[in-house]
Amino acid sequence: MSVKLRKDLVVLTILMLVAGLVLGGCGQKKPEAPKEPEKTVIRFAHWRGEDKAAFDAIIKKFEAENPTIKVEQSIEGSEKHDTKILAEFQAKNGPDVFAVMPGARFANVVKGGWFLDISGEKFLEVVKPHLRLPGQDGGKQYAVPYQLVLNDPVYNKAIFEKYKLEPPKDWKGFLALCETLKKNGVTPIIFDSEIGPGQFMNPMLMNNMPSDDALVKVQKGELKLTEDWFVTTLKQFKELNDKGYFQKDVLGTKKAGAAALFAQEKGAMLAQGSYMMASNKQANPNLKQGLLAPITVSADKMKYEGIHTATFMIAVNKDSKNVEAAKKFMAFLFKPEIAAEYANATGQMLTISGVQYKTEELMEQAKWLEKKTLFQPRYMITVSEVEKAIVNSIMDVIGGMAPEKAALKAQQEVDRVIKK
Amino acid sequence: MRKYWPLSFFILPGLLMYVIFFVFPAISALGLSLTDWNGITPERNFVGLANYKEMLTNDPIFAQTFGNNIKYMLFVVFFQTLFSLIFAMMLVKNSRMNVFYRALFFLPTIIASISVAFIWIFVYDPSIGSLNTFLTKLKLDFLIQSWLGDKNIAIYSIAVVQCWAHIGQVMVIFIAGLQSIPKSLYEVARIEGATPWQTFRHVTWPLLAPSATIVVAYTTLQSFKAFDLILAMTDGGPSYATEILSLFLYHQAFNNYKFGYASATAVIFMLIVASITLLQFRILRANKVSY
Amino acid sequence: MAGVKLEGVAKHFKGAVAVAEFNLDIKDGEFLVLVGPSGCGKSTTLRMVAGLEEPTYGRIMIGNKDVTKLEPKDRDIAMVFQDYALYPHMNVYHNLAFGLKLRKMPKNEIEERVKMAAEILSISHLLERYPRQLSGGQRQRVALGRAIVRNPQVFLMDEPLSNLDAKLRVQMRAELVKLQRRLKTTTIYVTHDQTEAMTMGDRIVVMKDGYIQQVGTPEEIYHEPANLFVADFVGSPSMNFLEGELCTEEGCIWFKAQGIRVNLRNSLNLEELNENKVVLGIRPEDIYLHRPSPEKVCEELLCQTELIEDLGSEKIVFLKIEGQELQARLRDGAAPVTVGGNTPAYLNLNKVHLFRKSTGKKILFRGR
Repeated sequence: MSVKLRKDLVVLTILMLVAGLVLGGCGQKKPEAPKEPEKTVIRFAHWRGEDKAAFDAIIKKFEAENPTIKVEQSIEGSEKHDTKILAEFQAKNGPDVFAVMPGARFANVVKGGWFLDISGEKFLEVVKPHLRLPGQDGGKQYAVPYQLVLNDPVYNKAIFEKYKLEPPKDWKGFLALCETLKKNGVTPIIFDSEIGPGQFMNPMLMNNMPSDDALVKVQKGELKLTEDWFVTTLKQFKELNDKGYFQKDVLGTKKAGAAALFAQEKGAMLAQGSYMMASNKQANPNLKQGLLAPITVSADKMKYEGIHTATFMIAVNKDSKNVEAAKKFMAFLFKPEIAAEYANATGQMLTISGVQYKTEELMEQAKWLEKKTLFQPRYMITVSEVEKAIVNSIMDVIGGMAPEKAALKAQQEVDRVIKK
Repeated sequence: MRKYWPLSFFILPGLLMYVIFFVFPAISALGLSLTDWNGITPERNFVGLANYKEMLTNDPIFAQTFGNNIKYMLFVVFFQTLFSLIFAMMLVKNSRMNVFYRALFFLPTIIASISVAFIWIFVYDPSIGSLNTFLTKLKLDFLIQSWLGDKNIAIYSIAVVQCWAHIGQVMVIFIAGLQSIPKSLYEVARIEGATPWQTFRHVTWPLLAPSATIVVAYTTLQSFKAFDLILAMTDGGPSYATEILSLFLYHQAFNNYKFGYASATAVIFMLIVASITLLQFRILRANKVSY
Repeated sequence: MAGVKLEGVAKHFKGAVAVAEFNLDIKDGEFLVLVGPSGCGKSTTLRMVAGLEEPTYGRIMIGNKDVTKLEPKDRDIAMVFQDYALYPHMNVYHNLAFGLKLRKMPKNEIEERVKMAAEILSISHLLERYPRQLSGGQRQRVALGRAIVRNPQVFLMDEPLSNLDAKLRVQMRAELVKLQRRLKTTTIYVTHDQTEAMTMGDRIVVMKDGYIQQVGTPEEIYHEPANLFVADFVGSPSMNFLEGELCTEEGCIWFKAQGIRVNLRNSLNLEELNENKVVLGIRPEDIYLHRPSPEKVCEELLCQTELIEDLGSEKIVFLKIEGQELQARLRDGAAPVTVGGNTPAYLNLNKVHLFRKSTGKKILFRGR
């Protein structure tokens, strides 16, 4: 037999084997594992891989209290999480309990009609009413924020003390603060291009906006970005940039690079948010941090002291086969003592009242529960192109474009997207 | 032909896979591109060619994106081919040292592009990045750039990373091509008195044409399909300066939830890639060499 | 035109000796063949003459010029390779013209020379073709043409016919010799094929393990092999060898092996030889199976016939005697032999060679 023919035979045999496996695989089903008697299994889908251990501990307690329920976690990265659960909902195979971000992503799930209406559930009462707002649509409560984030710059207390500085009360004060820092060779604000504009725009806008839902109106075409309030905000960004209050090359700086600079105490403020405090502390255990927001108007015109975002909203799938078990698990998460366990294990501040925080950073953040804060305006935008246009206009200004021109460019993009 | 028909069963598994994973999605993308589906709700409306019209006539971002693709492609194809050829010629002999260097140059290829991106984000960082620090130490401050922040150079900064990551891979193709050129051709050229440049010009380069065509074809496609690197390094920013078609498509679908529009982009994208591939294989066929 | 002189040329590769010491004076216009098994150093020697390898020791002269340190292009040589080494992307014309173009020769002269070379090799009709469109023989001609157009002082050929099939090889062999006679260009030709060497060379250099074994005309090499290796390497079928001892009996020298006694009918001072273990060699055509005419001095041995190969014009008879094998070559018309029987075999004593078993060197004993 010639070698070539033999080779052909080998290939043929392999092909047949593969074909057999493929075809055979279609017909068969794996033998089902023997069921544990009468255990209800619910699935909890979220994107916080770093909290897996904390949730495992909580789930263990929950299962001990409810021996008939078993909870599984399914975790994806935050971008993939959304895509995945949306696909699963469409296939009627969604998670029973799931986390969702406020804003456009929340709106998507509302559009699909996959939320269970949990209005009036008793376990919600531990969350202050204004913090429940992001999970509402059309007067119904669909999801409840679990974590509370303050989207205000983090500042280095030691540096402030060294130059005898206090968080300012108006725009003049803020500029003077920056000037003092700069004169002393300290970078006043560390600002990155990756998440910075999306974060810092909120406190910069909160007192300039004609109404709290101004950005929603922009998206509806009722307000324009070319109007004074927005152009003024861009001008203020320009002022900070032109006066050298940001570190050099903002546009080339990424989130991690900015955080590293702050942790190395090379700058006084980090224009990101409270969620950075724990990791900053980890990078530099000597760091003493506080939160402050720039007040872009005079003290008497101030409406808000800062920005908050109620996020990591938890909801129940309307199509869940185990709605009761799912609700039970959700209620468990909102018990203050359980929430405290989670908060202290993960370093996250929560929306839930009566939680005892243990770390310095969390106690610092907890003070802000008493302050006048506005829900993050950026999250009220539900059309992501509009959000991107606004963020880009800030970067354009930092890149040297005139504020009026950047505002016009952003408005043109908004017009293009929302026409119809 | 008829007596071979039972053999057609053997291609069935492959054919099925092709149909399920390629033909079917391609056709359904074509269908979706004519609708305004948002990817979430089941409802979708037929809108005809509106998506295409919007994209090709009224979307400045799409136009910019396409331009970015061209810039990216030209840079990557030129420099990646040039440098991989230079390295291949330096490392063509199978000495122990050369094999070591080849492996070293190949290494970035097997690193996940996300990791590559993170390495380079730190290289390019304006304040703590090694590149600018290095330039400062060499007293070359005037060369310091906002590598990923400057709209005019960000796309090239990423293109450099793409080259860095893939030069080793392409170099291997060139080395294989160089090694398949019979040594005696070089000896004849030497006896006939060709200078090193003449040898390259008249012997190496023409005989390397098939490898070079493969490399250029591969690199072009690779540059069009570049995605994860840019996603991780700039996500298309600043101000869409590094947004390329694949990223644009992704943003339309998964950030803006415009699946219909994204599908239309996908169709255009597919057409572009297919026509480039076709063109290049035509050239490849013309450049065939047999000894 | 010029001769080539190699003086003490040696080549070592990382401690391994490829060519030990090569001394040779090649005359102007001579066709010299280097022959030997692979790894004997013949190609390395050729490549040193070409300038592709630098000798570790020694000196190479072409004409009166010392070229040892010169680049190949400055030696005025042309080389033909085993794989032809044609440029696949150039047609025949450009393959031939490439070297001339590099030397900045005027266009009309290039054309003239290419035309002439093509005519000599009868490939004029192929000038527009590409190498892949040519047969092996045609490619070989083009490769030769490329050597001819340059009109060099020396042709160097490295196994140029090995890639051709047997029939074409025989044909090209003759053509190559005719061509060389016509051009009178000094040629050094490397081959591992002893038939090629015997049929083509004015002189042959037999090499082994980097050493020259023998230099001589084909007749000298065939009839007076200097040692066991040359005797074995040249000739097909190769020489028969019997191992044994020499001794003196009844005033004569006898060769004795187990069960074999051959009276060499010759005198030889065994004391001078100071060694009596020898190998007796005899070519197949010098063994007869019928009683030869009396003027041929022969020794008769009784053998068994094992096998007969009939080649048409001649027969090769495989014989066995006391466990040792012999081959006899019978011309056409010689007495037929049957397989399996006993037959007397007659060894022509005038054609017997003796070699020392220890060194393989020839023992001169036929004083005649």
